[in-house]
Amino acid sequence: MRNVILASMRTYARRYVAAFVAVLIATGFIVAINTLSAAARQGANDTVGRQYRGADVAATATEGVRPYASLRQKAIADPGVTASAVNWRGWIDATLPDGPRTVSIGSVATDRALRWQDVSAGRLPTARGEVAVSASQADRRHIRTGDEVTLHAGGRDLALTVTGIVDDQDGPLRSVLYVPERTFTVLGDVAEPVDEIFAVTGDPGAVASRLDHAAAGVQVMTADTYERDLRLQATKGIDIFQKLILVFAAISLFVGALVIANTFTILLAQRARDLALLRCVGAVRGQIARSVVAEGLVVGAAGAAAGVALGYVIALAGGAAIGHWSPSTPMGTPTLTPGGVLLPVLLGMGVTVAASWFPARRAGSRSPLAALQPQESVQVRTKAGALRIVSAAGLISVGACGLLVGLQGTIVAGLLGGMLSFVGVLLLAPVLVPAVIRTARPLAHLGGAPGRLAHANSMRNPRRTAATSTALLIGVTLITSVVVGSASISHKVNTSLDRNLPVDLLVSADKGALPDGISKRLAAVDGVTRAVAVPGTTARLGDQQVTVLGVDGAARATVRGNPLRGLGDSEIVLPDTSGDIESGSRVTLDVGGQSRELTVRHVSGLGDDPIVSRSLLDRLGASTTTRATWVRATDGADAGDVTADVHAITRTADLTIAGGLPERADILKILAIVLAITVGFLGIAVLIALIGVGNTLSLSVLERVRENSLLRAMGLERSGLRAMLAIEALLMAGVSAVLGIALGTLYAWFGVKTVTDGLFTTAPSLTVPWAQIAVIFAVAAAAGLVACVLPARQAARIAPAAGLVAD
Amino acid sequence: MTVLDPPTTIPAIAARAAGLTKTYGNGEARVHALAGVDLTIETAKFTAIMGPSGSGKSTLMHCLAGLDQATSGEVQVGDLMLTSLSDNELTRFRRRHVGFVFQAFNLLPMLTAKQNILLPLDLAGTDPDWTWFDELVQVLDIGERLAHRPSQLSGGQQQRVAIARALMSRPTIVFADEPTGNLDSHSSAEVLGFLRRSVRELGQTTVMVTHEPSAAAYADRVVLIADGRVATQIDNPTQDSILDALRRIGG
Ligand SMILES: Nc1ncnc2c1ncn2[C@@H]1O[C@H](COP(=O)(O)OP(=O)(O)OP(=O)(O)O)[C@@H](O)[C@H]1O
Ligand SMILES: [Mg+2]
Repeated sequence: MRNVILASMRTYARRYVAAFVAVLIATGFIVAINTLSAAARQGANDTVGRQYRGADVAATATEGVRPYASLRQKAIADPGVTASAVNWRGWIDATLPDGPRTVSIGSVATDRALRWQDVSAGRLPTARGEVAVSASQADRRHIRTGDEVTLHAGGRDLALTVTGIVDDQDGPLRSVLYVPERTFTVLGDVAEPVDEIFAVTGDPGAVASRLDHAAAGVQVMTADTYERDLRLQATKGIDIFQKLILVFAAISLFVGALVIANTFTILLAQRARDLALLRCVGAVRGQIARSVVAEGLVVGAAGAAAGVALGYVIALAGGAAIGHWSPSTPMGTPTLTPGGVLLPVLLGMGVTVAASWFPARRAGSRSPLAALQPQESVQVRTKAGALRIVSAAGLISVGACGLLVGLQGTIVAGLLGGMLSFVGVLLLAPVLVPAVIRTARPLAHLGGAPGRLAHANSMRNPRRTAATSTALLIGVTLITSVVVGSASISHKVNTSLDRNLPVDLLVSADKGALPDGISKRLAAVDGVTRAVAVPGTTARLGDQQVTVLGVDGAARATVRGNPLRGLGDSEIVLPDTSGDIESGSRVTLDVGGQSRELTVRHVSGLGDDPIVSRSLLDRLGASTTTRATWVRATDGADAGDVTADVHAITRTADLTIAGGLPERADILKILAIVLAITVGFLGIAVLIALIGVGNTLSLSVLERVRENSLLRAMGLERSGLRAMLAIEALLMAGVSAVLGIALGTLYAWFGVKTVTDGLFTTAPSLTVPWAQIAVIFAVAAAAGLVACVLPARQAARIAPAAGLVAD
Repeated sequence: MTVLDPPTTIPAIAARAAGLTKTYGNGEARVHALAGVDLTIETAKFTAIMGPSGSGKSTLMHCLAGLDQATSGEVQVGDLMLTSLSDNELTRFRRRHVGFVFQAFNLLPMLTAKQNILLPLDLAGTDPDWTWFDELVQVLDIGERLAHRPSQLSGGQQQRVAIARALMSRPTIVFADEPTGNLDSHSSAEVLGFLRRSVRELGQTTVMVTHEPSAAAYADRVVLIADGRVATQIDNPTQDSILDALRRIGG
């Protein structure tokens, strides 16, 4: 038998190339996705993790400075603790070389082991008179080592020398200035301790629980736990990564298995006659099965090994691309883990062997002579056809149940449901695809004789047509669900951000009016689109003294999502936290002796003061002063910089800032990461679809060399043959695209509902980006055409006489 | 059979090969499938080509029919020199002037019998002559089977459909490569009888490759091929004269 295996591998080298490529892209896909997403996840974690890289145990106090000091005393006494540090952070007035500003300030740990800052120039400050500056600010304000920075705190001036420039690192501790921990003891109350961290020997969990018992007023935990909490805070509880990566990894495994199985089905269908002949000359079933499985093993192992290499290269390229196009997206370095290599390799080989085993058994179980007869087309009415339909129906209904259960937030059920139902649909493909192709008959017939032939061809062997379409169907379904899904999620995130955080920055005075000209100064800040002064006056609302603001068109223009649309003179806007006053109820507003009955409208994120229209205030003849300034930042501006600059201006005037800018920036950053992963995923899916469809098309052309030669003998020109194959490819691609887009949209709906369960108060609705869908359709059609170019050229080149005797 | 009048302008020679050679492969593996064939096929005659296996019969037929390019030498069919034609011209030539019947895999599996018969005309974009079509269908007794696909037809029925297709376009010449190779003696006799009738009654020039002396005996002339050359030709053959000649060339 070994001779037979080797001989058939040599003879059918071209067919094995297809199988090899299938295993290659499948494993490559899995490796690339997992490596890339692990890198993205690591990148996201690093934003927090890097600032706590030396810490094993962390503590946060519910209140005040004192618990940290006493905890430190106890920690020093603990034999397991080798180092400790308090992380400080705050805002301070400083005179930089280019003038006075209010800037953020953080601490450099006294103990080397707990320092997280990396210097790009000079060294970290260690003495009282020393300070380090963040690289971005140093760059912007032309600060170099050796320059002088003066801090103003508690009525004292503190002159410091810049000793180093610190790399910018996203995370909760990022600041503009960094001074040694001990400097904070002389700065007064400008800064507060954020947390206390410890390096320990031995088990951090044990030390943490010891310290937790010993100290009062603080919560001590392992640094890992603490970082997770911080991350959750930073992402507002959205641990969407975990979910997303689980989903992508599972899908990649699934798609890989499908692609391999599909290719082998075609491959072995072609070889059914060979296998039957082998049986005729005396090979027993076991020998056939063994030989096929051995082939599968060889092809699977080779393909998987190459796939790991390919996947890793794609991951590296993807990481580099994300780094280049979206430098603000934190990405770790893509690294291969033993699990990340073994799993796809085993899967690739396993699926290959399984995919070759089943058709081999089918060939073995038929009577050898029956198998030698020319292949008949698959009929749905046969027993096998009925079985197929029944099992497809079963899979689809079980899958649908899974999808429905998934809607309750059970991702695993949703995933399994999606996969099972998709397998069900693929089983149905031999019925479904030709049925849809049948409707395209008038279209195909526009292509003349080749068009008619192509249409008849694609209808003839439903199983082959279905198998050829499957690769593209998988690709298009995947791409559509990802595109529709991410469009829906990002639309939802944006609208819910607009609703909850409609104004970027709200500047207000604790009491009375804002100083003159503050709005102008704010409007001049880099990264601010508009800053509008909002007039207001003192009024009585019910039995309470309030400041009521009057907004006009200019103020409304700073508000995102336009919640103040159509604000009439008979309405009053209250924050939706305002307890017992219901939306739609009526309240009485007294302004300067005049009173008005107004209808309440609830809007969140506009500050605590009631809001009416400017024209109402004017009509009531109220004397107004500027009571607030609403700032709208430019989309994409660095939130940290804008906030710092606004702080610098308002700090001197003793104003308070509120608003959604920092939170919005954080969430949008997460969204950017998610979208970046998605784009990588998309690229690979496109690749799969392209290669898959090329693979199956060339196999299907190879299978029909004789038929095509007969057509040529009958007088079909080369161009006619090429046209026929092209129209056939277009038909199948078009049908796959239509089915895939429909399926993908459906899966996107389920996916979005399942993944975002509990993240939003109202579930996201489906956003279908039609332009992108049109692009998908065009790309699918183009993919079909491109994929058929090579096989069609090959088929046309074969001399009819040579093709007629081929098998 | 008044509709089956033979065409009026007929050259006496339907096809001609001169110094025809065909080699496959290179170096050690070089095979001279045809080593200089000189042959004329007369119009309105039934010619059989015989010879031992591997002697080059199929190759000769492929070259005569424009399915393959000869390595050297000339092929003329009607008044066309095939050796100087491009691939597209050859294709159009086959469409218009040649009908084929092969041993097996004659019909396109995705088309019905009727579509198969009309395929060459469909490809040429010519309207079928429906009286001719009905005539063929009736004579070949395939009227019941027109809507069936090849997989639903018996071997003999498939061959009859293939013959109908070959004759449908009234080609200059019909080539048949072992058309009865897969058939039992009854079906063979039927198919051969029809081929001979189409020659006698319609003046349809026909060339048939065969292994069986009984089949060759239906022909007007037998051409014996050995080692890629014409060994001998027998006019008005009988089974005995054919067997004699075969024995002489050691086939
Ligand atoms: N594509 C090819 N490549 C190499 N050699 C070939 C090829 N086709 C035919 N031959 C060789 O050319 C010679 C003639 O082949 P051909 O098929 O014409 O024989 P034949 O007379 O039809 O035989 P049979 O009666 O068995 O059908 C044979 O020796 C064959 O091996
Ligand atoms: Mg032959």
